[in-house]
Amino acid sequence: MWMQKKWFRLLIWMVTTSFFFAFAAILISMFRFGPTEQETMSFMMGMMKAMETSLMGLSMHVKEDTNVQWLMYESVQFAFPLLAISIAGGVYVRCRRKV
Amino acid sequence: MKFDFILHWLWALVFSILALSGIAMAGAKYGWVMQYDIATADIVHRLAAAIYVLLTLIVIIYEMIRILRRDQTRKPWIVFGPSGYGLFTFITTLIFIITGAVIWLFMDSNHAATAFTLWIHEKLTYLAAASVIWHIYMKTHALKWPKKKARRGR
Repeated sequence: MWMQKKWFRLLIWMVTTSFFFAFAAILISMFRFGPTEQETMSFMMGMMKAMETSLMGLSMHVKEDTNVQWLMYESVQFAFPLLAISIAGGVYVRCRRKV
Repeated sequence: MKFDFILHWLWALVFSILALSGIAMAGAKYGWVMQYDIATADIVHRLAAAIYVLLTLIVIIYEMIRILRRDQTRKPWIVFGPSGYGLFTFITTLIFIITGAVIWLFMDSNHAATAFTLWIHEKLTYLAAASVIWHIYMKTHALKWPKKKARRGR
């Protein structure tokens, strides 16, 4: 059993600690003073860089492509019937099987 | 190895990555979490989100197969459930995915929808992070370090 292995316990401790870090980061950021002008500038610079180099900017470029727009339109056409079938299936399972 | 056990810890790992990269993008006060490297946070967040959606799909299909087979065995590690924290996780996951998809798709075309969903996405992150702390507190027995086996012959 993995739960009895020390390396796995260590992994669990790492993951668990990361959640405490995340929650502490939220509390500290929420209630601390600021943001200062320097922090705002750093954040805006980071956003600008993200627009240029990461998926944030890429997604905007891609959406201007007519082929991608057509693909998105077709995907939506498929998505709604699939969604309806899924909901109907879920309701059937729920009512029939009494789970 | 139990499938639900692996899914649980994969889920936890991916959610942790999503939370930390997402917090960094929440605003100027939060950027320090990733040293204001928003580009990296953005890529990491989107890649982790894709894995998160895939894991959600796997868990739903797994649960559906169990229901159709009338499998009544107790799965203590399963992520979603009909009540309690499993239900909370299921609802928050669906809201995270829907709002995330709206942000991703309509960021440049529909600013009103993006702003509204971003607000929900952000506030839900705070709630989910707090709930995970509570969940960890309730399950602390999992963190106990394994004791050495008693030596024989004493």
